[in-house]
Amino acid sequence: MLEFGRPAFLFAGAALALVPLLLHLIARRPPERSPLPTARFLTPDTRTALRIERRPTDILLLVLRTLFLLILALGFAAPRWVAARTGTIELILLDRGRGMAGSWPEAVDSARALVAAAPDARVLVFDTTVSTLRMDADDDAAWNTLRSGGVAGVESDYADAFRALASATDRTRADSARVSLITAPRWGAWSEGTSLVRESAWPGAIRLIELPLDLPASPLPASPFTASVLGAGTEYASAALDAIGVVLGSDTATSDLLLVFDTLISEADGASLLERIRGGATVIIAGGSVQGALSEVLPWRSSDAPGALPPVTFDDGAQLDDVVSMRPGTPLAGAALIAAGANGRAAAVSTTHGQGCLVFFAGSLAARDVALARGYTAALRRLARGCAGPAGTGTRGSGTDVLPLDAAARDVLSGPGLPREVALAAFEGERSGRALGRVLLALALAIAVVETWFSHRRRRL
Amino acid sequence: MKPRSASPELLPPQLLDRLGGLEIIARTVVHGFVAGLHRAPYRGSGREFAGHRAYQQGDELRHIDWRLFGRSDRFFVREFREDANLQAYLLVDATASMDFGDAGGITKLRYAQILAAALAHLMLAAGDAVGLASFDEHVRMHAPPRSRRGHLHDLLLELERLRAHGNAGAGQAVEQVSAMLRRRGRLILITDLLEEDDGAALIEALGRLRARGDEVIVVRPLTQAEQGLARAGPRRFFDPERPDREVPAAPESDPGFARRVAIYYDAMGRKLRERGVEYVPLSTGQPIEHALREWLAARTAAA
Repeated sequence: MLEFGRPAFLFAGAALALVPLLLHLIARRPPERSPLPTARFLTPDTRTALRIERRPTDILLLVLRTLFLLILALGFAAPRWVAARTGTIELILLDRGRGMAGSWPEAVDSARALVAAAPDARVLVFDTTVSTLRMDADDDAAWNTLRSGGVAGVESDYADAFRALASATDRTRADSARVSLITAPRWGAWSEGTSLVRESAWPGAIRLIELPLDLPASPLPASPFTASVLGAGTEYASAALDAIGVVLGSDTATSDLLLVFDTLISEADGASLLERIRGGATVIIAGGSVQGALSEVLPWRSSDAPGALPPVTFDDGAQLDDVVSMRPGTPLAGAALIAAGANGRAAAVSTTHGQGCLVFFAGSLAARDVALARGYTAALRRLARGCAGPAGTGTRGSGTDVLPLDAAARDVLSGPGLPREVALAAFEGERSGRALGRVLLALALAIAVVETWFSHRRRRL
Repeated sequence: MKPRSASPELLPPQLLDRLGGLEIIARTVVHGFVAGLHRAPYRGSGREFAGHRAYQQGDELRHIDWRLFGRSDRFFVREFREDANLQAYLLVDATASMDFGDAGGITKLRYAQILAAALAHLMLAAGDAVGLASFDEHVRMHAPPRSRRGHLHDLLLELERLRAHGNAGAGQAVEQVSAMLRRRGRLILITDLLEEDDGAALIEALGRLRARGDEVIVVRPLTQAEQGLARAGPRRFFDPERPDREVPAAPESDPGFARRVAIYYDAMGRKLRERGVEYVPLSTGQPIEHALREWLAARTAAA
C-alpha cells in the first residue's frame, strides 16, 4: 500500500489541480482569421463568430496540466510503497538483561502465562540482541531450557527490543501488536529505546509486567529542593524530573525550584516570582514571555542575532538533541553561560538575584518532540542546578544512570485501561518500503515536456 | 478524330496538379479532353492558304507542295495567312483573391494556369497564334501571340511563374490587351470576377472589345467555399484583397450567403451575355477536362 510522509502536499496538489480546470473554463481565445474572397457576401454575425471555440488539443492540454500538478504533489508527498500489512499479533518482550538476574525464573513464568492466554503470541527475548521464539505453552522442555539459560551479562537495550517488534511480524504481515513488556523497569535519562515506546505508546499502550530490579541503582543525588512545573507540557517535565529524583510538590508557594514553561508571565506573576528568587528559589523560564519587573532582571536581551542551533550542549557535558523555537538574542553582561548551541550561540544563561537564581533557556522545553529527545532529563537536571554550576564532569543522560522506574513515569507510560494495539510502523524508525518520490517527480517532468510540446504545436496551428 | 475505345479516368484537379509541370499536365488535360470527342474541338482559323512561292533555302520541307513539284519539277512552298488572321490572348487574373482554394484542393490561380495551358495547347495545335498576359492592378506579364513551334513551351514557362498578389484591375487589363490585339482576335479571360466595382469597368471593356468584332470568353473558376457550398465554422473572414476588413461570420448558419453569391454571378453572367461575351462558370473541384467538354458542348449547341 501507499504511505505518505508528507500527506499535506496531497491536499495542496488537489487544490492546485483545480487551477488548470478553472483556466480552461474561463479562457477566451479570439476566433481564427480565415481568408474568403467572397467574404463581402457574408452576413456579419459577431455573436456566433466570436464564441469560444475549443479544439480537441485543449482537452489534452488540460489533462496534461492537471496530471502534472497532481503527480508533482504526489512526488513531494514522499510516497512509499509498503507491502500491505494487516492484523494484530501478541508480542511478549522478555528482558534478559543483567538486571533481571534475581527475577529471571519469575519472568519466564510470566511469559509462559501470557503465551498460554494467546497461543499465537511470539516471545522476543532481548538483552542487546533480540531472539524471536515461537513457544508452545505446554512445551515444558522449551520453557525449562529458556529458564536454565539464565540472563545475559550485559544490560538490556529497550531500543533494540522495540525495533525488533516490526521484524517479528514479518511472516504474519501484521501491522499492529499488543505488546507486553516483562522487565525490571528502569529509565536511564530517556534512552533512545524509551523514546520509541513513548512516541507510540504514551500513554498506556504497552502492558508493563514489572519485576524487581536486580542492579545497584546509582545513588540519586539528594534533591536539594522541591519543584513545581507551571505552564504547558508539564506532564513530560514532571515525569522527567521525577525520574531524576526531583521531588515534585504541588504547592508552588513552597517549591524551591519553579519551572515556568511556555507561559505569559504577567506583571503580577513576575513580581511574585521575583520575590521568590530574592528569597532563595531557583526559577527556570523556558518559552513564553516575561513582563514587568522580572523582565528587567532577565539575563537575556532579544535581538536579531541568530538563535542557537541543535544540539545544545550544557556545561556539564549533557547534550539535548532536539530543541525547538530557539529565540534569537544575546545574554546580558554578567550572565553565566549554562548551555550553547552548535553554532556557538548562547542557549541557556543564569543570573543570581538576591539569594536565588534566575535561569533562562532560550527555547521551548515543553514541546513533545523535545521532551522525548535524548538528553532531556540531563538537561533538566543541569538547569535545575541553576546558578550552582555543573556537578563534576557530568555525563550524557543515556545509558549510564540506572534508575528504577518511578511511579510518575510508570503512570504516564502505562496509562489507564488495558493495553491497546501499537502500530508497528512506529517502531520501524526509518520507514521501510520503496520510496517513489523521485520516480514521480521524474514522471512529472516528462509530462511537463510533453505539455510544452503540445502547447507549442497548438500555438502554431 | 477517332474516339478512343476507353476514355481515361479524369483526374480531379488536385491530383492532376501532382503529375508534374504544366507541360505534362496540359498534355494530360488535352489528351483526356480530346479522347472522348468525335471530331476536333475546333478548327483553328489561322492556317488559311494564301498562295505559293518559290522554295528558298531554309524553308521547312513540310511546306513544300509536292503535287506541284510533280507537275512542274520545281519546288514551291505553300504560304498561309495565319499571322494575318486570328490572334488569341489568354488573360489570367493573378490578383490576391485567386490564391484561394478549397481545403485539400488547388487554388483558383493554379486551376487557371492548368486551364490556360490546356487552351494554349489546343489553340496552338489548331494553328492559332496564342499570347499570354496576367494582371493585378495592371498587366504584369505579357507574351505576344505566336504560333511557331516552341511557343507553347514559352507560354507554359510564363504560366508557371505566375504568382497571385495585389488587387483587381481587370477592366484596365482588358483595355491594355485590347490595344495589343491588332486584328480580329480572341480574348479568353480567366478570372473570378471579384472586382471592387462589381465588375462594371470590366464589363464595359469587354463589351467594347466584343463590339469591334473580337471573340470574348470569360472563364470564371470559383471554389466550393466561395460559393457557400463547403462547411465553414465561425471565423473572422477577410477578403485577401482587403485584409483589413474583417467579417466575423458563421457561413454554416448563414443560408443567404450561397444565394447572394449565386445572385452576383448570375447578374455578371447576364450582363456579359447581353454584350455578346461568352461566360463559362467553372468550379475548381470539377475536373478540367470535364469542364472543357461541357463548354464545348455548350458552344456547339449555341452554334
